[in-house]
Amino acid sequence: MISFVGRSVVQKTITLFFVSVVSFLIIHLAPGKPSQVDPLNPKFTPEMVERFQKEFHLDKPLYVQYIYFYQDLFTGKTVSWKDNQSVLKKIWERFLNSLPLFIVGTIFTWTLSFPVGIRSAIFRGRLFDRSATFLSYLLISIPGFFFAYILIIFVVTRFHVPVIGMETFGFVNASLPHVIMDRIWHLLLPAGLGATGGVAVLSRYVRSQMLEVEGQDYIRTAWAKGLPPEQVHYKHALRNALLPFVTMFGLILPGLIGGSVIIESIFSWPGMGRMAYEAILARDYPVILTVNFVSAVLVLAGTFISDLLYIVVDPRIRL
Amino acid sequence: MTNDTLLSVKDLKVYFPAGDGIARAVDGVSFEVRRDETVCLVGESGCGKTVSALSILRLNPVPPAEIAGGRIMFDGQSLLKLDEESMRRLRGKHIAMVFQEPLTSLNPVFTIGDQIGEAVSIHENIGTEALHRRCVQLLKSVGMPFPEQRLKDYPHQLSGGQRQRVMIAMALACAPRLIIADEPTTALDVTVQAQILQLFKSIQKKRSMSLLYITHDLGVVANIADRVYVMYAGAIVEQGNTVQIFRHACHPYTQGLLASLPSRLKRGKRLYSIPGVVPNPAFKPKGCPFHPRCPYAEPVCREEFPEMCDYGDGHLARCPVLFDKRDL
Repeated sequence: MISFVGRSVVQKTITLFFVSVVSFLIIHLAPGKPSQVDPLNPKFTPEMVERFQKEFHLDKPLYVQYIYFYQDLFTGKTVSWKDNQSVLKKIWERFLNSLPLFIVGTIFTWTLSFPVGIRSAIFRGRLFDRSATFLSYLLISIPGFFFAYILIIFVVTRFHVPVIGMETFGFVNASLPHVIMDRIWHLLLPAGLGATGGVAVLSRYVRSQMLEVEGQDYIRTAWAKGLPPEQVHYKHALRNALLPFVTMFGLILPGLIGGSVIIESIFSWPGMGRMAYEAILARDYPVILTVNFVSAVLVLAGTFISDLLYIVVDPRIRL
Repeated sequence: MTNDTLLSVKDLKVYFPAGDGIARAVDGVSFEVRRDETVCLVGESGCGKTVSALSILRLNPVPPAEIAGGRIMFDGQSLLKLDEESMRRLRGKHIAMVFQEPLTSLNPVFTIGDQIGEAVSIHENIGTEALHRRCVQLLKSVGMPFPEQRLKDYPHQLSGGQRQRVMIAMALACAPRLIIADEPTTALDVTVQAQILQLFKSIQKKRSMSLLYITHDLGVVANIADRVYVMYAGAIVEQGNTVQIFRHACHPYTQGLLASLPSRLKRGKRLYSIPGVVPNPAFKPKGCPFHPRCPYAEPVCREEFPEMCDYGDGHLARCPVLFDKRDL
């Protein structure tokens, strides 16, 4: 066990190093330069460009820039080129904004997908299964942004509640219940929208996984023992059908950082995804690279957690 | 049907949709299992043995399977008419089943103890202590070494033979009156096969229970059967006790099967094999389904489905052509 942990930490550190090199190179390979964001801007005189390049070591060779960047990152001194603020502080603030959206969205996705998928598999071909299948494909095929606008129009005209942003502007002095309700209304729609696509896809996975397990010999054995249907489905079948999702559960961790750029943009939600997107447009390398690095760390941590979970749930896997 | 009969299957028909037609996997099968006897159902793969066996416990998934007719009586109850809940109470308690593939028939994520214990506790009200003792007892009775420790093992930690022993222990859990064994030794290697077969024999002798043993292996049949049913293309073609079947086979198919067995007398000669293959259950030939492969086939065989001919003393064969020639 300890050797497994040690081994994966070493392996993952090596992976992380390669990720950092590759992402650094890709950013610099991309067309455009931070100093040339807007060459037509009269404020950007050649002298200013030169000063800018000097200040951020852009005149040094790439490997020196690489070392400078990661030195700053690990000492926490990285600053955004756009507003000179600490990148880590910026990311942390945005992260706290994204967190409720992510948590509520994930809870929606996982608590809805499983009951729907399992029921579809058990009642395969019946009305419930067919309607669930139809709805899933409908939700998968409707573009998220389109669906979002329809829902916004519906909610705003029907319930007369504002849903754009994280809270209603100028609502600070209202009483606590009002503020809470306001926050919930603002959270519900984007989180729900983020979940619809997830539910549609995940419930399909659950269904097919469950169907595969239901066809196994040991399920027939369970029936032959005289077990009631609930025990056959929810004990013998589900326990086996869950195994692949343990891996998936570890991999949702990176979703924390990526979030959904589209949903955040539509709802003007000041989250991580939007910050990264804006940083890319502004060629704000430190922000892009830091976000990239943090998400790489989260991916590796996620896989590590799923490896550990797998050992817990599948007795066939031993270290 | 006498008082002695525990299970009687009468004219059972199980159909499956197959492309544009219907696969008549089991097409009018009748057989009986009496109390405390071992009955073998013999036939090539695809002849409908397993489907018949699964139908007794109603384990064929419906749909796609369709029970198109027939009657299954177990101890005075008509199984095909039973509601699902009563059927469930019967499974495992009065009729238990041992399957062909011990490797895949045990749930990989639960321990042996869990899986055996479950078979007991679902039908009986039993305390944790007693349940544990019962599981150890069951494993001991199927000849599992170190039963105490084995209870905590997962299926992947056992060998094929040991897993089949666990399956048998599970089947014995509630002391059923009938055990259906569907080719329980096919997936095992020869030495283990012999051990498992021995186990079945001794269990059947020790406990008063009936055994319906499904196999394609005539050696196994000779070893354990009291009575034998030979199946071909979804129907019984010959039935009788072991001596009648092995010494006086009266159906060309049974004769062919026996002739294909290797033996010392045939050393050095080419082994006989029945020409042709088992017909596809969706396109069975008209008349006697065996006629395209039969050395005695006459024009009438192509037209009429043959009746069972009674040779007396419980020996029946579905071949009027040979029946008419019996005294010649």
